[in-house]
Amino acid sequence: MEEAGGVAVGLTGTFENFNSDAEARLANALIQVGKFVQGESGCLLGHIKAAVFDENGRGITLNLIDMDNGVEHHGTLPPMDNARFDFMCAVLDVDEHELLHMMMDAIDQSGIEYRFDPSSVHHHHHDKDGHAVFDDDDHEHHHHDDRECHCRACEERRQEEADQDKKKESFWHKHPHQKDE
Amino acid sequence: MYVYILGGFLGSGKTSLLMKLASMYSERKEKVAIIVNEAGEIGVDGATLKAQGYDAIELPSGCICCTLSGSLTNALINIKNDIDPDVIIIEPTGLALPNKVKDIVHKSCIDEDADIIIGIADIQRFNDLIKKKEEFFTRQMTGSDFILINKSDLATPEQINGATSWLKERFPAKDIVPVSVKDGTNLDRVYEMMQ
Repeated sequence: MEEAGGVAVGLTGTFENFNSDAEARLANALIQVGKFVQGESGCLLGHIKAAVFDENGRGITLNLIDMDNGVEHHGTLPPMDNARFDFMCAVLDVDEHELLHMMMDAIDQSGIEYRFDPSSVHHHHHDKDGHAVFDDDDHEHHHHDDRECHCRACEERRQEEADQDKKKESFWHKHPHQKDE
Repeated sequence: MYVYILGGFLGSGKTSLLMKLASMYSERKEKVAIIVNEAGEIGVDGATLKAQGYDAIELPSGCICCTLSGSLTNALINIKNDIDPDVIIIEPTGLALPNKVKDIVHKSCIDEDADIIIGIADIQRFNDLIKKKEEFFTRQMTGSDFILINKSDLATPEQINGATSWLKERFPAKDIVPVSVKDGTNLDRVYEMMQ
């Protein structure tokens, strides 16, 4: 894998109230990840796959290998209260950590009700407020001295929050000279 | 017992071909066992194959041509002892080198009649792949007993001829066959080339 410059990451979990609408949203989540990969490496060389299945392992598989052709759908799954899912991505020339973040964000923003298996979310996950929550104390791997993730996605989120905070500054803050008038 | 190794880059159509071959052998009433390798910790294809009733073993979290070579050997020995199939089809990860997988199969001493590598080239992303990873792709196709140019239904004759010429230049002794696993184009020819 190292010879090819490839990375392979995956997530597992459960979708709640899974139906055809959720399937379409999941397909869109794969597209979002595909766009990210394409932006990072110049082209999508690899594949992005998801499977959603019942307790017998029967269900649907979504497969994205070419952005022009879109997501391929295989199999059928009736509406389910709780459906298991596997979501994996094997591609070239992308940072593994950022890729995992993108996959988590894509599921989070899809609108599907979900729960990630803690074991599949490596060192941390983000709660609903976007804060990084570590699953264990071992974050040496990412050199998290301040218990914050410093990957690009998290840094961009912090920058956005900082920019929004700046916009909320008071009139007097922006125009201090007028206070004295 | 014959062992087929499907070699080709990520997304080239190995899994689709594997399912066609498994279905073909099942129709012939021959016993098929499948080993699927996924480089990441999470695999998708193994569960799908098992759900369709195939004897499938999934080996995730590594590459069977290197980090998981021991796991592959164990899986082959267990399959031989427990199932004794007529055919074993191995789908390595798209980042594996198939001739290394063949070496491991041979050293596993499962008394197979032949190990055959089927190389699969994706015509749709052929130019991108040779632009970015020409050496790696060439190494993947090296050792193939024959090479399939897959997804021919999505390519023009010029594109197929271009890819065929490129492959023939590097592998003049190998059969190069344009196929479409999706619509079945030339799959009959592939079945004839297999034992």
